[in-house]
Amino acid sequence: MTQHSQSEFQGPQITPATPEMTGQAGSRAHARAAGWAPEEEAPAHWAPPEAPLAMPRQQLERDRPARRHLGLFAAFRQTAA
Amino acid sequence: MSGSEGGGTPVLLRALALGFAGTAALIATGFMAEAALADGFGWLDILRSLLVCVTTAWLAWGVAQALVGLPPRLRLLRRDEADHPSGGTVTESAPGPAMMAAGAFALPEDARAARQRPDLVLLVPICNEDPVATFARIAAMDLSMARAGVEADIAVLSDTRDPAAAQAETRAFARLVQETGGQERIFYRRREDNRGRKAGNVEDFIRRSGGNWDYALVLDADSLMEGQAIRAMVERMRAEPDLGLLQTLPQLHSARSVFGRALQFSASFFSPVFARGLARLQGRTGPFWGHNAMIRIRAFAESCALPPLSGRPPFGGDILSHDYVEAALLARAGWRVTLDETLPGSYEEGPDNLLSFARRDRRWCQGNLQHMRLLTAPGLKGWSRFTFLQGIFSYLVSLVWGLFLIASVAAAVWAPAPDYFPEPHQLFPSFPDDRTRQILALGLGILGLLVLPKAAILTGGLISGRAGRGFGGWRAAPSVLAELLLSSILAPLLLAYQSKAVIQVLSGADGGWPANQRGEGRLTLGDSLAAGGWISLIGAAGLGVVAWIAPQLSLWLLPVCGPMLLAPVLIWASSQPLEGWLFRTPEESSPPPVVALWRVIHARWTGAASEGLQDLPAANALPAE
Repeated sequence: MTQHSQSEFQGPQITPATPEMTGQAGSRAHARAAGWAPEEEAPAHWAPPEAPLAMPRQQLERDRPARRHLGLFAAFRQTAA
Repeated sequence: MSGSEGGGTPVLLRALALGFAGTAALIATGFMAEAALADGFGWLDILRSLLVCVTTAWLAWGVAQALVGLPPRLRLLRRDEADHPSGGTVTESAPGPAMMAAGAFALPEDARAARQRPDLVLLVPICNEDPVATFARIAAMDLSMARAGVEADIAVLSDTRDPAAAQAETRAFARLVQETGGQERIFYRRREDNRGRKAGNVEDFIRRSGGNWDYALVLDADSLMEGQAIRAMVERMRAEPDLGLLQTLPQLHSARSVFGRALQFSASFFSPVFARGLARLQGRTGPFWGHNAMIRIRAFAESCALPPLSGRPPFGGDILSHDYVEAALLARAGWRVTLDETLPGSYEEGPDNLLSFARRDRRWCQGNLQHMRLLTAPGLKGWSRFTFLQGIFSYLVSLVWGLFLIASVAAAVWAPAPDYFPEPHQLFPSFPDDRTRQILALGLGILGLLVLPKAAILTGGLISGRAGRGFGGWRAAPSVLAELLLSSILAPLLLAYQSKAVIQVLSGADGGWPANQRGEGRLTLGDSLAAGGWISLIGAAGLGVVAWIAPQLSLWLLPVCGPMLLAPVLIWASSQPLEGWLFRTPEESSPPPVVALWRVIHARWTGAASEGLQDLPAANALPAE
C-alpha cells in the first residue's frame, strides 16, 4: 500500500462538523453528559480502576557518600561562587 | 524477522564503529600535534591536541552511527506472520463506531456492553498542557484505534497544579468522554502530590492500577500514533515475551517556521538512518525516549521504580531524564529494549523556534549530566553505561569546542616570534616550517565528518528512491543543503546556549523541569534580542579581542563569531513562517490520517471548524502498513 493512500477500508469516516457543535471545548452539556458538574472536582468514576502492582524501589547508588561522587563539582561550584 | 534484526550483542559492529571513531581521532590529533610543532610544543599544544582528539572522536562516532544505519533492514516475515499478517486477538475490522453524527463518534451501546478489559492501556501523563489540544489528540487516536480494530483503555495522568488549568482539563475531558463514548474506557486522575515528576506519575498509576493491563503505550501530551502502529506494537509485544520495551521513532509534524521545518525535515530524512545505526549498535540494550513507546507493565513494575538520588538538585533529587535510566534498568533485569525505526505512524511536535529548542535543551542537559551519578550504578550493562556517557558528553562537548577555540586563540597570541637566525653567526635565515597543510587537512577532515553522514544519506535516498517518497525527489538535495547551511549557521548559537546550560548545571543551578511551551512559534525582534543579546556581546567581544591581539585569526573565527554577532536576527528570522517545497516531508506532502483527524477535531473543538475542512480527505485515509 502506498503511504497514506485511500483504500477499500470500510471503517468510520469523518464528516464535517455539524453546526450545533460550538467551539467551546467542554461546555456544561458535555460535563453533564459525562456525569460531572463543572463546579466540582473530577468525579471519582473517572479514575482508573484499582489493581495494585508492586514496584520495588531500585538501587542505583553504591553505599558511598554522595560527596565523593560530587567532589569534582563541589570544587567547581566553589570556584564559580 | 522483526525490526531488531536479531537479539544478540552486536560486538563486531560496536568494535568497528568504536575503531572508526578512535582512528579518526588519532589521525586528527596527529595533524594537530604536527602543526603545533612548528613553534615548539607547549602545554597549550598538548591541551589543543587533547581537545581535538575528543571532539573528533565525538564527530566520528556520529558518522559511524550513520554509516552503520545506511544499509536498509532485511525484513523476513515469519511464516505465521505471513499467514496471519494482522495478528491473533485484535479485531479484524473496525467496530464501526465513529460516525461523526452531531460531531460525536461514540462507541455503540452494544459494543460497550460487550466489552471486556483489554490488555493495553495508553498512558498520557500531562502537566500544565493545553487540554483542548491534548484531548483532541486522544480523541483522534481513539478513533484511529477503532478503525484499526485495536481495543485499548486510555488513562490521562495529570500532574497539573494550577486549579484553573485543572478545571480546564476536566471540562475538556468531559467533552472527550462524551464524544467518544469513553465512559469506563478513558480515565482521568489528577495527583495532588507530584512526587517523582513524570516518572513518579507513571509509577503512581502502575502501583494503583497497573494490574489491569499487560502493556502500556506511554505517550507525551503532543504524541499522536496511528491505530495500525499501535496494533503492530501490541502484536509484537505479545509475540516476543522477552521484549520489555518497544520504542518507535516519532516523526515531527505541523511545523511552520524556518527553524521548525528544517528540524522536521532533518528528523524525517536523516533520523531514520541514524536511528537504525543506533538500534544496530545498541542491540538488546536499546533506548527509551520517554514516549511513543510500549512497555510490558510487569517488567516495568519489577525493575523501574526509580529512587530519588541523595543530595540536592541538580545532581541529587528526582532523576530528571528518567527514560534512559528505565531502559538501563529493564536491560539490567534481563528484558530486551528495542528501537524499531521502521514502524510508521508515530508522531510528535517539535520546537518551532530556537528559544524553545534551547529551553528544552536546558532541561535535557541537566537530566543528562545528572547521569554522571549513575555511571557506576550496580549491575548495569556496559552498553547502558556507555549510553549514559554519550548523553553526558553530548552536552559537555559544547564546552570542549569552546575551550578549543579559546586555546587556539591563546596559542596564537603566546606563540613565540619566529627566530630566523637561531645559530650565532648564521649566514642565511632559516624559515619556520609551513604547517598550513596540516591545519587545512585537519579543518577539511572535520568538515568532512560534519558533511559526510548527511551527504551519504542523501545519496542513498536518491539512489533508493526514498527521496521521491514525499521529500520532493531531487528537491531533497537543496533541502539537505539548506538544512546543512542553517544548522551550521545556528551551531555557534546552540553552542553558546549549551555551554551556558552546562556551566549552570555544574555550578549547581537547578533549572527544574518546567512544562513545555508548545505552539510558541513566531518571535518578535524584541524577544529575540532579549534572549540572544548576550550571545551577540560575547561574539563581538571575542572578535574584537582577536582582531586586536591576533588579527591573522579573525578570518578563521568569523564562521563562529559572525553568527554569534547576529544572534538576535538569526533567532528572529528562523522563527518566521516558511511555506513551499523547501524542507518538504512526507508528512507535509500527505498528512497522516491521525494527524489530519486531530486537526479536524481540534478545529471543531476550538470553533475553527472551517480550518479543519482541508484535512478531511486525509482524515478519512488509511495509514501506511
